[in-house]
Amino acid sequence: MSEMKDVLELIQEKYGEKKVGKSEIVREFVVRGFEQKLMQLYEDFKSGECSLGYLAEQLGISTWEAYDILKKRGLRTTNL
Amino acid sequence: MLKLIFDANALITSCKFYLRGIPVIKHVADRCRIIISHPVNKEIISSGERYSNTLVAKELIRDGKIKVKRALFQNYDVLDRYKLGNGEKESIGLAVEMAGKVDFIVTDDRLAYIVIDRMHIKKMLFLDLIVELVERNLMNLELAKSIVNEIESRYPEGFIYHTLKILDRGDRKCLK
Repeated sequence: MSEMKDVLELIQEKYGEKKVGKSEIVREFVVRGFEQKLMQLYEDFKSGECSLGYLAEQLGISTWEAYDILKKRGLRTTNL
Repeated sequence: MLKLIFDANALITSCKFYLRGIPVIKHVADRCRIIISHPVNKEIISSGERYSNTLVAKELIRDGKIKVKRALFQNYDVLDRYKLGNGEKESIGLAVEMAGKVDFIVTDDRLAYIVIDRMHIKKMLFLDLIVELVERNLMNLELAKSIVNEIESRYPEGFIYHTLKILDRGDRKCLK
């Protein structure tokens, strides 16, 4: 419950009284969550702690998609 | 003919890069038998039309140049303790099951490479496969060098430099 409170406070802080659609807020949080998870997994991938396949599965995408996502962000696509 | 298991990592490299208008995987598939695991194939199928590079793999599978095999053993208690994907785990499972029937497993993933090494399974990086093809007179030197130069951006510098030196000198242990 405290996590939910934190999230609600963050929303309040960011948007204040602005009228923002719920779907927009949800979308932003999903994107942020994805990016955060990607970067956490990328650290493991870079250090050789996890494989590209594992990184992809944890993100719910294919290895091919993972390759493209890393490449588009200018990140290394290999952990060699 | 060399019989190899490709994991997704090596397959992606060889499908994404082209030489003389031909995907690198075709240059390789003409010279050896390639096997991929069921999860690696599943990703290729589920990619639909979004990834043109997977179309190359689909075509080779359709033409029988790449065989898809499912490992009989599916309980990867040991491999599950590593942070490997299903494709890598089943590729390793296949290599264990097909011991003696395949020459190498080809992977460019550091973790998979270490795990495979610990299991005493023959393995090689994709770059070493190119060297192997030259050493076995299955690929000419110029084509091999061109492929290595083409896929250069995929690897840290040392891997490319070392590979080109090996190809030039025919000596894997070259120090300069």
